[in-house]
Formats: sequence, structure tokens, C-alpha cells
Amino acid sequence: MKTRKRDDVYKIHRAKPGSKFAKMMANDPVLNRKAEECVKSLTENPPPEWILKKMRGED
Amino acid sequence: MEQERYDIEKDKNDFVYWFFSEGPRGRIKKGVRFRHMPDVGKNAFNLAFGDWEDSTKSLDDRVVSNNGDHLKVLHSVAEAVREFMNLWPDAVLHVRGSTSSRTRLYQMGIASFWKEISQEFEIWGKEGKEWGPFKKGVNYGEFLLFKKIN
Repeated sequence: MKTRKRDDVYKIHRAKPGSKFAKMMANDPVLNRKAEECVKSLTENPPPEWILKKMRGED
Repeated sequence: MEQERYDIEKDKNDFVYWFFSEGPRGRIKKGVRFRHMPDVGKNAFNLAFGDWEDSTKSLDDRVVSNNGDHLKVLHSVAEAVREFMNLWPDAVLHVRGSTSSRTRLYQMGIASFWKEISQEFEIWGKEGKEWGPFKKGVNYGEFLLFKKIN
């Protein structure tokens, strides 16, 4: 199956601010709520550092 | 993961998957959406799942369909996750149900095909305030899933 390079995901979300896709993602209240919950949870009770590094692409 | 599931469609951006739940309450469009979380990390994603509303192109993750097919739905969500993780093998996926009962449902789903999942993925669960490797029989509030490095 086709796979993408690690940095491609970053490009997709960062390359075109204001694009139709970016607006669609930003305007979904469910996604926004869940995103806030996710950030809050991972900030207050973070997983082990090696998982955080994995999330940041530093592993 | 050969359990019965619905056929899945995917949008061109890889971040939304759809399928139709079929049961006594009719044909209900379901959506599985993956949101990139750049504030957490370039590989961090969050999963949202619920009924899909075409007119607004958005999810309702609080609705309870009671369409009599929750296992088939769960297997379909799992398949969407597997497809997404194959496309984005570095992703770390954060999963938390919109309600505690939905989180328990996810937990049941993970436990029911743990043998298959654990060959391909590593799953950590948050019990109280502590994260640890997923164990059957423990009640977790949320999950982190990522591909194993072979």
C-alpha cells in the first residue's frame, strides 16, 4: 500500500491556510472540541517522553 | 481482522472515512475523521467518530443510533483506523470517546481483537492520570495507538 513521507502530512495541513479543506477542518465543532480535549489531556497527564517524542517526530 | 464490517469510502485527503450503518433504524451514514494536531506534534492525530451530516460536512459524536449493529460498526471504525495508519505509518492516534460508554465500547473493540491488533499496533491506555500499555480488563479513559516498529 502507498505510504507517505513523514513531512507530507505537515505540508498538507500547513501549505494552504484558508483552503477549502482547511476551512472544513477548522469549522467542525466536534473536531475542535475533541482537539481541545486532546491537548488538555496530554498536557495535564502526558504519556512517557518517548511517546511524546514520537508524536513530535523526534524519535 | 476478518470480522463482519461495512464497506468504507475515503475522501481524497485521507482524513475522513465513511460507511453506512444498516439496521432497524434505517441507513445511517457514519463518519470517522482524523484531525492533525500540530500543536501536540507533527505526527499527532485525534480520532472523531459519529453520524455524518452531509449538508454541514460534519460529525455528531453524541448521537446514539441504536441500529443493532454496534459490533459491525466498531469493526468498520477499526478498519478505517487501520487504513489510515497504513497511509500514515508514523502517526500517533489519540482516541477518546465522546461519552464514557462510547469509550468503553472502544475498549471492548480493542479487547475483542487484541490478538490481531497487538501484532501490528502498540496501544497505551490512560487509567486515572497514568498512561500504561493496554491490558484487558482495565478501564481506560483514553487511548494512544501507533504502529509497532518491526
